[in-house]
Amino acid sequence: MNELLPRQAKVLKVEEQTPIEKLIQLDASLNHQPGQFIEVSVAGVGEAPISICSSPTRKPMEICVRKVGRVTSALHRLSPGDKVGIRGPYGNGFPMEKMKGHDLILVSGGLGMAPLRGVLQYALDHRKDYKEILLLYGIRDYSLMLFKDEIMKLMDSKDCRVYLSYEKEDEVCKNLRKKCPERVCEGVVTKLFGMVDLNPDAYAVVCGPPVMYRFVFKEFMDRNFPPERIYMTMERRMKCGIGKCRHCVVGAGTSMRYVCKDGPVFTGVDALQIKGLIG
Amino acid sequence: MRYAKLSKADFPKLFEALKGYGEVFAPVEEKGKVVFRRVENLKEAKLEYTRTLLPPKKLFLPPEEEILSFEGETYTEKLDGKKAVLLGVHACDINGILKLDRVFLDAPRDEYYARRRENTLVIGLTCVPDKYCFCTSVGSGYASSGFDLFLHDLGKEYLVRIGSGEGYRLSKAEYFKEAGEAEMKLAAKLEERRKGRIKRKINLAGMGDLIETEGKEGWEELTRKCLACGTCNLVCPTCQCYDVSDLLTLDIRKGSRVRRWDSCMLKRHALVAGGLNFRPTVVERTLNRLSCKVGEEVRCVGCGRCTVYCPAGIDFVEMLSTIRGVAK
Ligand SMILES: Cc1cc2nc3c(=O)[nH]c(=O)nc-3n(C[C@H](O)[C@H](O)[C@H](O)COP(=O)(O)OP(=O)(O)OC[C@H]3O[C@@H](n4cnc5c(N)ncnc54)[C@H](O)[C@@H]3O)c2cc1C
Ligand code: SF4
Ligand code: SF4
Ligand code: FES
Repeated sequence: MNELLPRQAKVLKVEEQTPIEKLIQLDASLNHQPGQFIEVSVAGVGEAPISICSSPTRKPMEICVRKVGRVTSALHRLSPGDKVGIRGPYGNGFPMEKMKGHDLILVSGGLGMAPLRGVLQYALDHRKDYKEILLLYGIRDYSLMLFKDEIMKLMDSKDCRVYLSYEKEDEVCKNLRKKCPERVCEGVVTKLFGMVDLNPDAYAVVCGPPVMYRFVFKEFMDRNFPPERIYMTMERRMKCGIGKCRHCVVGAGTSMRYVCKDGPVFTGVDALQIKGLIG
Repeated sequence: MRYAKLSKADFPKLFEALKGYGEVFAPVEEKGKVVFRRVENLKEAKLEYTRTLLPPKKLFLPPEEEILSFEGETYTEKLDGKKAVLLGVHACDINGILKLDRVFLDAPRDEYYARRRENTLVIGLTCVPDKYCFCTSVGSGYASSGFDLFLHDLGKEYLVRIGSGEGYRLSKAEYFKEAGEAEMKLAAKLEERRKGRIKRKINLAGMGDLIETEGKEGWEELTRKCLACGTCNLVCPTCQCYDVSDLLTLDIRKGSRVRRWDSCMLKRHALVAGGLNFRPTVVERTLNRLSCKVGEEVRCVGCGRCTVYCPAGIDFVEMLSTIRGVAK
């Protein structure tokens, strides 16, 4: 089989999430792990690695795309019925089995919510298998919040404790903060760590912009959280997605890894070992 | 392994047999440089040479190739089934091919590379080392596998090591004669002499650790002259990086997906959308290149190309010696 040959997938639905992000439903079933990604092709424009943002327990498969360049803009132009090329799923994903029987602490910033949504959906669909589920989500303002309906609904549910931080106050955020000051605050996502007790028996699942990791990791380390229980998904430039083109390589000297093949999910121990992994 | 003997006078016969298998590529002198090029006649080949400009990997992973064609969103693969022969490959370059095999043939295998590798015979040949070679320090001065036939120059004849089924079939021709211990001993003696001519040495034990702990000032000094041109990558037999882009025909519906060799020394190699660059300066990029070549594992095969062809005169072995703290 030629791994570089995309197969076709039909676009079922395109939904605007924020002014810069769209949720795209694809008619494809890949039996993936939350945290894995696919290479999405728009013929004539190119390919881009995009996380699968739905859980394998939910059909159809969804991706959430931020418009930042050529391929992502072309993806934003799609309408239902159009076709794209896909390859994958690639990467290791989050160890959903291993984390069973424990608390989950999901930490996400901005678009990092996309891969974490798959984890969240999976855990909610196997609710009895996990103990407490905490979601710490940092956004710039309400307009840029992803999966608004789902997260607002979770805020009122007992299945998951949602903590929210925002950088710019608007009406919605202000009201949320007034409604539950113990879970909503102004500031960056690390500020939320002051509101939660970290159970050292929990597993942490982290995804956000590259600058976020160092600070989040420090919060965990300052609280003596075991690094082997932290799972972080990384972003690097990628072309092949399968460990050949070497664009995504991280590390130096004795430890080098492919983000596409050995990751994109790495542990806190990797962060200590692999130079430059979290900056 | 099986062994045979081939008299130099009979080499043209073997050459004809190889031509019967597929297009033959051999080292040829061109404007003062030796390059692998298609030849029709054994006389065109320069059998005694030091190193080619580009390594023979270009036959398996071409500098540029169309991997897919598309019409609308329907993709068609462009796999090539052409048979070829790579004649006159030195031990270091064969070891380089073996290192690339581990990248491109490991699952999921790269079909483009795999097909060409399967359809190409590799005929090894004794090399002529110069002062830039250091294959003996990286364990690639001898090829134990990765070829169909390996020809050891014994003066008037070649000792031939037979490395594959196809090699075995070729060796059944009447011009191959029996060989054994005596020829092997002679070849070993000549190998020993050749090895003695390789004076460059580098101790790579713990190199990864040294690279990892080298300080900022050290790196700045090491890379001060570097132009970030990427030549060192393009000439390296074990560099694997490639880039991919889509090209459209004028009617916009049809086009092709093309991949090209890329270089980790170029600025855009780790640049992502939004302008964030994970290896922004030549320091991070050199750290990455050296780590890739001699860090966690030794991927360098000691061919000396990156030093010989660097326009800034940066010497790979000297750079490593400086990091080790043993520079002259
Ligand atoms: C594992 C992984 C998961 C990702 N998941 C998502 C997701 O769920 N949603 C989302 O919107 N984005 C995601 N990204 C980022 C997304 O891949 C880039 O935004 C996208 O490749 C930019 O391509 P472009 O053609 O639109 O931009 P351009 O700037 O035009 O990019 C040109 C080329 O650069 C490369 N490139 C640029 N930026 C990146 C980048 N950040 N990562 C990898 N390659 C890059 C691409 O190969 C592209 O062909 C993910 C990236 C990775 C590595
Ligand atoms: S060939 Fe020399 S100048 Fe060019 S990138 Fe390599 S080390 Fe730098
Ligand atoms: S790093 Fe330099 S010496 Fe080593 S194999 Fe590559 S080109 Fe040859
Ligand atoms: S994306 Fe090509 S090696 Fe990782």
